[in-house]
Amino acid sequence: MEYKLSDYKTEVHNDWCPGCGDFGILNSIQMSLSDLKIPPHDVALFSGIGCSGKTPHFIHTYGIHTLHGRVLPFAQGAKLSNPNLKIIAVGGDGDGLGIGSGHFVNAGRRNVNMTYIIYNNGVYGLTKGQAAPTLKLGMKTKSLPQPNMNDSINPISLAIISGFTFIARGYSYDIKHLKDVIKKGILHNGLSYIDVLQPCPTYNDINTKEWYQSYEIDKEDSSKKIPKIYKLDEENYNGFVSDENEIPHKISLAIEKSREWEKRIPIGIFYQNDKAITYEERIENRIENYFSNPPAKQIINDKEGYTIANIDNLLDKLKTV
Amino acid sequence: MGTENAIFWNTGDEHDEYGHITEDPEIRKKMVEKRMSKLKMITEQIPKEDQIKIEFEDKFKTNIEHTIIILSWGSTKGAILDLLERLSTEFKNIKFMYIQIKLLHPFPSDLLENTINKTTKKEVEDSFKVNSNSKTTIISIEMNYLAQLDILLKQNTKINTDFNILKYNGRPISFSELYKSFLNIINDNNNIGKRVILESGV
Repeated sequence: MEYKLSDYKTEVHNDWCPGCGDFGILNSIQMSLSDLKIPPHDVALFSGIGCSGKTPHFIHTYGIHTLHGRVLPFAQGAKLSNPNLKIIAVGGDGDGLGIGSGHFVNAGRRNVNMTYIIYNNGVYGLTKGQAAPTLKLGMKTKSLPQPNMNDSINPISLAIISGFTFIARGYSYDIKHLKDVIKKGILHNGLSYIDVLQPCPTYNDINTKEWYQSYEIDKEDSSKKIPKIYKLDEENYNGFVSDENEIPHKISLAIEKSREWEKRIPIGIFYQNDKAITYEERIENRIENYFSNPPAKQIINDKEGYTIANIDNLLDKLKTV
Repeated sequence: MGTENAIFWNTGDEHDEYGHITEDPEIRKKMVEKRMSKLKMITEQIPKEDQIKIEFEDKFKTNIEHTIIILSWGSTKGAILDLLERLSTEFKNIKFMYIQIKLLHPFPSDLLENTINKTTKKEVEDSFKVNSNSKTTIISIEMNYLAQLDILLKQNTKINTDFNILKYNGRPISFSELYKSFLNIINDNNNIGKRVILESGV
């Protein structure tokens, strides 16, 4: 059966603020799934808590709206029990990098084949705009009584050193580019992280759409405009690991790139290593038929609902004559 | 998941039949009422002995002058059973009863009140066994500062405790200190207030 873009949408009322960057991400996810012709029932979309957490309700795929900061454990669990599913996890920077930072780092150790998208706006938008983990030191957004006392997490660097194998950034008002990045992230064999610059028009009055889309006049050629946001691949950056020996170099390149901010902000793929072994492949090395007979396909009870597991052999071993 | 024509949504936030998030006040009201009705069902379904359990009760005493009912929960049980074994033989005219509360929410209010009322009422009926000036003392024994079980009793029942024996120095309750405090209560030592604080342990 052919699926149209409209088949990935729901009728649920959307209460995001007018002009919210989340709409661009929502549309990009729906367009990516439609472009890749992934049947809606083969996708499970997980979310944390926050404005971003409502995303699954607007997308016609399996949708699980989980707990604050805990989206990755749910999503990884679903993928491991049924590795044939396409898993996308979404959440905000407050959700995933604040309370969820332990899960973020440890997900990198596993490299489960799934995609994690963070809606990065620097504030806790659902709860009136408190400073979130990616807000820079000294910034005073709308609802802060004093400038931010904490410095920010750099999610791109954190993802790289944690072991994510595809790390990219998009901008929520450049849907065409964001869609391409998400598609590449979904197709990547391993754990992909996509950081999306997402202006919060209600509470972040500094990193606004106008701020992201501003430009400087070239000092040497006044007819030339230098936009703040630029695409990595258009400026000869290549984060793709083509040989394992390149890994340390590519990692340091990506970390260096991820520190660019304020004057110029790069978007695109910072790092990709498709040679790293996934968690599913590690399981397959121990359980040969894991992919053909994963836990989700196994029958565990009889018609009356009783377990069919037989633990007699196990108990026999424990007997002391 | 992964099954055609079976797509669903889940959320821990308020939701409709499809699992979609909702802020509709009518659905919200119905859902709150549905969830709260489960408390009544829980009270009905959980076996009574898993809600409250009579761990000790004097059966064959006559000429009862005093009934002492102990209410407690958790780790105090061992010391209380040791205590009652001794007190029950030492005081022939006192009827002892010990009820352990095992379910704190929903609180088994009716079950507990009925159990206590039945005990005290039975004594009145069997008047040949009970002296006319017989009295009842209800004591809670707890390992915390606030007498939290007593707070729950006040919130959920008409039961009034006469004493709260409490311990909160990070040491378990011992038989000997419990025994001493009971002798004070039984002998109607006027110096003790409602709160009896135990302090033994090094």
